[in-house]
Amino acid sequence: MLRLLRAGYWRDLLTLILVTTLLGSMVAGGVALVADKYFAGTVSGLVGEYGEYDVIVHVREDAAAAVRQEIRDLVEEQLDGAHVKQGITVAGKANYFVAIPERHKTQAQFERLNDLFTALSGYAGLTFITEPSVVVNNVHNAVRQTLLGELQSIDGVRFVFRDGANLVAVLEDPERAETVYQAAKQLSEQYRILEARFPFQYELDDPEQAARTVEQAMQQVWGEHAVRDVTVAGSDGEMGSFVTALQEMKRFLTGYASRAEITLNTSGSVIVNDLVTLTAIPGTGDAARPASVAVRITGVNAQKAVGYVERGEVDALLDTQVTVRDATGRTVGRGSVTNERLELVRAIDAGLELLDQLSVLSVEAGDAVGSAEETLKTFQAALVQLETVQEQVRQINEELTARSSADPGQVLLSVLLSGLVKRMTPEQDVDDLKEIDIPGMQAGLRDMASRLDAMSRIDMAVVKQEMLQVRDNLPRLTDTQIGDSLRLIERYLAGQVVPGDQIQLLLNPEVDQDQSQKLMKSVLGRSDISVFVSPAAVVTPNARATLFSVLGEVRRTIAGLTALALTLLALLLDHAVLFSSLQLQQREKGADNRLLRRLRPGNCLWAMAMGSILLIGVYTGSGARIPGLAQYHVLLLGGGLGWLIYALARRISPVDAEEWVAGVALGLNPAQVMREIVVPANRPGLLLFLNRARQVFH
Amino acid sequence: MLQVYDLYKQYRGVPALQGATLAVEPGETVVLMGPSGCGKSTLIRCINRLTEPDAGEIWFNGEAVRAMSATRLQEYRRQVGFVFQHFNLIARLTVLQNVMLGLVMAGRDKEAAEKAAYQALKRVGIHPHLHDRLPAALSGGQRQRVGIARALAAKPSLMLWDEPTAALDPILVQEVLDVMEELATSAKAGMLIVTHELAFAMRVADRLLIMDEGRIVEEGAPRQVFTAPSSAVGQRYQRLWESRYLDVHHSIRGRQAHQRQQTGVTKSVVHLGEGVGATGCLASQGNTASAS
Ligand SMILES: Nc1ncnc2c1ncn2[C@@H]1O[C@H](COP(=O)(O)OP(=O)(O)OP(=O)(O)O)[C@@H](O)[C@H]1O
Ligand SMILES: [Mg+2]
Repeated sequence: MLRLLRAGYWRDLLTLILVTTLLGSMVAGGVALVADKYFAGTVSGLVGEYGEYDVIVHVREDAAAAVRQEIRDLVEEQLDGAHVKQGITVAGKANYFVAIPERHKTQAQFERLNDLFTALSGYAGLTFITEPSVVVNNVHNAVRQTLLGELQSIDGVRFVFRDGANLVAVLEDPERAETVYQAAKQLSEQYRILEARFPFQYELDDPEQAARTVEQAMQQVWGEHAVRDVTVAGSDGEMGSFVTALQEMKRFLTGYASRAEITLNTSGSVIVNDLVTLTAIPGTGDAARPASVAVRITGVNAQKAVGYVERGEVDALLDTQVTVRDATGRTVGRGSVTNERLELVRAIDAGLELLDQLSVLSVEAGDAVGSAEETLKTFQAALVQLETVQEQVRQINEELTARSSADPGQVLLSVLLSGLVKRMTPEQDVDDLKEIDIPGMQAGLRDMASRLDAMSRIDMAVVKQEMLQVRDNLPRLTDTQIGDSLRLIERYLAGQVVPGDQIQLLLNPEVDQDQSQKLMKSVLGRSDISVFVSPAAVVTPNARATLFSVLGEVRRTIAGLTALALTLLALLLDHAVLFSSLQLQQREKGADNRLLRRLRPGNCLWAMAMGSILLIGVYTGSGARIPGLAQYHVLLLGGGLGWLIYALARRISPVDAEEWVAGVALGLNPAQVMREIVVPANRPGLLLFLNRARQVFH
Repeated sequence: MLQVYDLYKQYRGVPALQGATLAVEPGETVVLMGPSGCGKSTLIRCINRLTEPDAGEIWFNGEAVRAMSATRLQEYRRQVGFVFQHFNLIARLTVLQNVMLGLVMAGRDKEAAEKAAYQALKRVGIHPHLHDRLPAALSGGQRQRVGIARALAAKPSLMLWDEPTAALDPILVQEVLDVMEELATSAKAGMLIVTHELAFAMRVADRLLIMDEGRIVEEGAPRQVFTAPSSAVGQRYQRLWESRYLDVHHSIRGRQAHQRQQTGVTKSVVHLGEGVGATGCLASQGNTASAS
């Protein structure tokens, strides 16, 4: 190699390397640039240039035509200076790109946009694409406000606004994106949510109490401020309500369905969720129609099981004993069917009857009260008369006593009379009678009368009407319909977390993740639940920034790959023949010479160096960067390529040994041999092209 | 002019030269013979350092060839013409360019080079209408004559020939041998010719060397070597010589008969066969020289 270089071939080689590197860089860079332009053009055609628009307003496709003017008017009126462009329609949604003028770029304005555009017909939401920005996604309710403040204080952040559960930090300068992104990431990573979920069928009895217990247990370990119960803050409003409503509906429907109570022959023969068949026992009830219903078991306790009728009509089975068979048709027990709904109807019917009787009763009672009053008056009069008689008897008796010795008949009469008086009106009885509160009784009777009077004046017909209405308006659902609905609800609720059936704790950085999980499980005493820690906020590289940086990466990667390809090409077309010549030179001289043997790795090293130089040159020159490839990787890769081509050189570019030797024998130096004999016979390439200038014989 | 002392060379431990020693004087024609693989090519290529010997000395006009610098070596090689067994013409260059190549590369201006090339080509009997042909468009004999012209063009003081006729169709051999013989007798250059052509050697050689296992085992006038060999290989050559050229029955065979017809060697052979002596050899030489 050295002899070749010394013979003046270094000039040829240097030119070749420089031209290859320059041209390679240009080609690789150019290819990458073209690819980049193509992709970026496609992208910006879809979503505008980076930072050009701030928000995409989605509108239902059918309303798009109407909205075109509406949105312009709205923007003119509310966001004076904003620019609107209609984008493409995707998946039934028309998209309008809105560029918000600088002076309107504030937190308040951005947070107001959703409300603002709601006025548009067919409005279907908006997507913020404002740039430069850093987006923090899925920020937990409990930290949203705190984080907003913290983000705002990051250097380079212009303002932060809320977009649903996201926080968007709008930056002053795209150059700051990376540092702000890192800062935001660091901030968000401080907050983690430790969460336990108790899905359907694993509910807690008192989740709030449980949450408090866990919170306290953790605070004891990590301190007062390290843990905060944020369960309520975390529950998702609308969805939670819906789940609750469904839950209630289920409860109502279950109560409303016909229920079966079953006594099992052997305990454990049915389990919850089994479907059993209830059939009327022949001989009891209506034997002519052995009706049957399907019952879904909802609870089993030893030999007692309960369930609701899922299919079939129960009328014929009510108030009778029924046989219970399981799915295989085996008799497993006996039971009875009740139906709250029918019982309610019956109750109302009874009430109506009572109402009729009540109106009659009130009249009768009024009469009775009237006669009672009469009786009382008579009694009072009688009482006065009784007192008079008593007085008279007493006077006669006194008179008789005064004349006692005179006539024995008078004496006898007197004795008799006094006895009579005593028996008729013993002192006490009369007093008792006197003590009866006649006027009070009269007042009571009068009060009663007036009430009865008011009662008789109530419009019983209206009341009856109302009750009939209630009776008729009771949901007219068959058991089959109820059963179907219940199954539907249950399928929906299965796995759904009912609000309040989860516990969320906000953890500070000092709280150990694994330990806190273990602690939670042990405090709750439940191993059947899943406990996990998730970030309270996730900073994602902004999609568009990512897209553009990905595009840049694609460009650099394409450049890198092109550089690789070009280097390989250059090695194949130009350098292989050189390597091949070097090897030939060795062979011709006699491979066994010690000195030459030592030079052999020299040639190989030269080839590797050449590969490295070319690759690193073209790679760097074209601005290439393949992800995961460091500069020294590229060097090694180039060296590897060089080595590979060196190893295959004889096969890639065989050099005619006879011609070579002839040239040497004629006194040509190695450089001359290369220029006049070897290179011109080689395949076309840059070397061949450059060689033309130096070659004497054409 | 050329002295080679005690040259050693081995290929991957297999010895090719084991103390080869020879000398060529100016104007002298030395023929080197030996069984295949004995190291003739290695030896002759070591002389202009197409192959680097492991040990030994090579002197050219009092200068140590092995100590020459790269540039000096190039000059030396221009003074030493080399004719290859397989002609080794540059396929992409025309006949004329092939001959001019060495001259132009040596710095001669193109016109002078072309002139010299013309002369050289004329000397080997290549007609100018062939000058612009590519080697591929020539017959083997023509190609080798171009090869000779190329070696000759720089007016070398020493010419090395490595079996120049071995790759040729037997019919074409003689046209090359004729050129060689003409050069050997008329040119002032010293010649070292490796060949298997016994008759040619007998006629042309001032000195005949026989080589075996990397060293020279016989040296002397061709007649002397073929009649009184001192080595086993020499004796094999003697038998070969006798069987081919002294035994009339054997000599009626195809190739030899053909050669004899073409060159008139028959006469000298018969003469040799009759006399077997120095005179016969000399007569042969004179005969051939006058015939050319
Ligand atoms: N480049 C080489 N690499 C390895 N071995 C070689 C090389 N050239 C020659 N040899 C070996 O060296 C020995 C001498 O070879 P050389 O070509 O000098 O013989 P030669 O006398 O010219 O034979 P021939 O009459 O066949 O041309 C042989 O054994 C040959 O195989
Ligand atoms: Mg040979």
